[in-house]
Amino acid sequence: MGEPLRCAHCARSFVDAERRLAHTALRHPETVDAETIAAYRTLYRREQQQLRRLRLELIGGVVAVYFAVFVLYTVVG
Amino acid sequence: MRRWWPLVALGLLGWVGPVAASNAAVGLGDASARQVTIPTWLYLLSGGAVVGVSALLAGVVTDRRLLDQVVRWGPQRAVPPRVRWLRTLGPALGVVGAAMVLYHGWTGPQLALVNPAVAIAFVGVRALVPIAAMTVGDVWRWLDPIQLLGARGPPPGGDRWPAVGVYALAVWLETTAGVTDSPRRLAVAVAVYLLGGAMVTRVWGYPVWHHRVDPLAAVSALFARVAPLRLDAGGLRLRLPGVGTVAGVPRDDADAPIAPGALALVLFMVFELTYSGFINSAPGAAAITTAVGWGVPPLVVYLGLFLAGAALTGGGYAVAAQVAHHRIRTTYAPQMLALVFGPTLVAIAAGYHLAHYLLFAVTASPLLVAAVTAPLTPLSNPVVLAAPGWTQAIPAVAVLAGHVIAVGAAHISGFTAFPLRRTAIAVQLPFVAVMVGYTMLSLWLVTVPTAAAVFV
Repeated sequence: MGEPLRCAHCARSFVDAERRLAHTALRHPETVDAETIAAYRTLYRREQQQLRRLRLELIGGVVAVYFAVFVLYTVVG
Repeated sequence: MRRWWPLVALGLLGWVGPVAASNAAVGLGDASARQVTIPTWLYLLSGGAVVGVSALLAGVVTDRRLLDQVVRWGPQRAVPPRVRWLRTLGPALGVVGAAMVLYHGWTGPQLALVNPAVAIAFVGVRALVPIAAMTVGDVWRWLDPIQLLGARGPPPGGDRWPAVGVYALAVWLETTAGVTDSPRRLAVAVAVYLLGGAMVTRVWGYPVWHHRVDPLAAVSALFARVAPLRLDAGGLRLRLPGVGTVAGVPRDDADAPIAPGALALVLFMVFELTYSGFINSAPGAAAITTAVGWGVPPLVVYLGLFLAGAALTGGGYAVAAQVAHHRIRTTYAPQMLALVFGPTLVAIAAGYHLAHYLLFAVTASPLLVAAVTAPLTPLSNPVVLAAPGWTQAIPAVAVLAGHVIAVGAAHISGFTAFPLRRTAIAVQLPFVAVMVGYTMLSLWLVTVPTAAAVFV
C-alpha cells in the first residue's frame, strides 16, 4: 500500500484514487466539476458490472443455505 | 426492510415445531394424525440461517438513495410546549421510587414476592426501563433522581469505562449476592448506588455521573438508539427501529460513531444477558454443579464463567473486525471498523433483553401496579399473570428480530462509511458471521428449560 491519498475537503484518507473519487462525488457533490462527474459515472458503471456478478453470488448463497438446511434435515433428521 | 419479515416468519416456522410437539405430549397427541418433531440442531441452524440469509439478501440492495430513504423515513410532529412540564415530573417519580425501595427493602417482609422493593427494582427498573428506552427513548434521563442534585450540562470529556465497571459489578452482585431474594440486601445495594451517584455529582458534577459512571443512564441512552420514537428539539419523530444505530458515521478518522468504552458496554450488555440466561438454565446449573463436584469453589466457577464469557464475546467481535480489515483495502484501522459497526450491536442487545425480560415484565406487572397503588403497605395478595401458550414465541422472535435489524443497520453503516459498494458489502460479512454465532447460542438458551442458579 502506498501513501494514503487525502480527501481535499475533509480529513478522510483513501488507499487509491478510485475510492477517493467515489468519496468526493458522494460526500462533497457541491465541489465536483463536470470532468469528475464523468469519471465517477465511468467508475459507477464499472462497479455496476461487478455488482451484477456479486448479486448473483449472494442469491446463490441464499439458495445454498436453504438447500443445505433442507438436505441436512432429510438426511440427518 | 419490509422484505425481511417473510424471513422472520420462516424462522418462526422452525420454532413452532417443538411447541406443537410439546403441547401434544401433554395429552393432545392422539388428536393429530402425525407429528413432526424438529430437532434442536435444525431449529438453531434455521435461526442462524435467518440471520445469514437476511445479510445475503441485504447485500443485493446497493442503491444508496434507497438506503438513505430507509434511514430518513418517518413523520415528525412538533411537541406542544405545555407538555414540557412533564419533564419535572420524572425526577420526582424517581425519588419516590427510590424512597420506596429503600423503605420497603429495609422494613418490609423479607420475602421477594411480597416485597414492593423487589417489584419496583426488578420489574420497574431492571426489566421495564430498558424496554421503555428501546420503544419511546431515553427514559432514565427523565427519571434519574440524582439529577436533582446537580445541573445538567454538556457531556464531559472521557469515556464510559467507569460505567462498564459499575455495570459488571452490578450484574455480578445480582447473580451471586442474592439481592433478588433478600430485599434488605437490595435496599443496601440501592443505597450504595444512590450515595455513589450523589458523591460523584457533588465532586465532579452531574454530567460526569450521567455520561460516564451511571450504568443505568448508559443502558437507557444506548437502547434509545434503536427506539422507533425520538424526541429532540425538532419535535417527536417516528422512524424505523434500529436506524438510530446507523447515525453518526465517521467524517474523518478521528470521528468514531461510538466511543470505545460505549462499545465495550454494548458488548457487555450482549454478554450479560447471555450469562444470566446460562446460569439460570438447566444445562448451566448442571455444568456448574459438575465443576463444583470437581472441588472448585462455586464463586470461582461463576467468576471463571463470567470472565471467560466476557472475553469470548469481546474476542469474537475483535476477531471479526480483524478479518474484515483483512478483506478490504482501507485506511481505517481494525479498531475503527469495530467502532463503525459497534452501534448496530445495540439492536442485538435489545432483542436479548426482550427475550429475557418481556414476558417477566408483563406477567409480573400486577406486582408493580400493586406496589405503586398502595405505596405504604407490603403486597398482601401478590398476583402474577399467567402467560398464554403463544407468548412462548416471544423470546425466539425477539432474538431473531434483534439480529435481523442489526444486520440491516450494519449494511447501511457499511454503505455510509465506505465509498465503494463492493467494499461496503465485503466488510460486513465477518460481522454477520459473528452475529450468526451469537444468534444460535441465544436461541439455544431460550429453548433449554430454566432452573434456579445453584450455590448462590
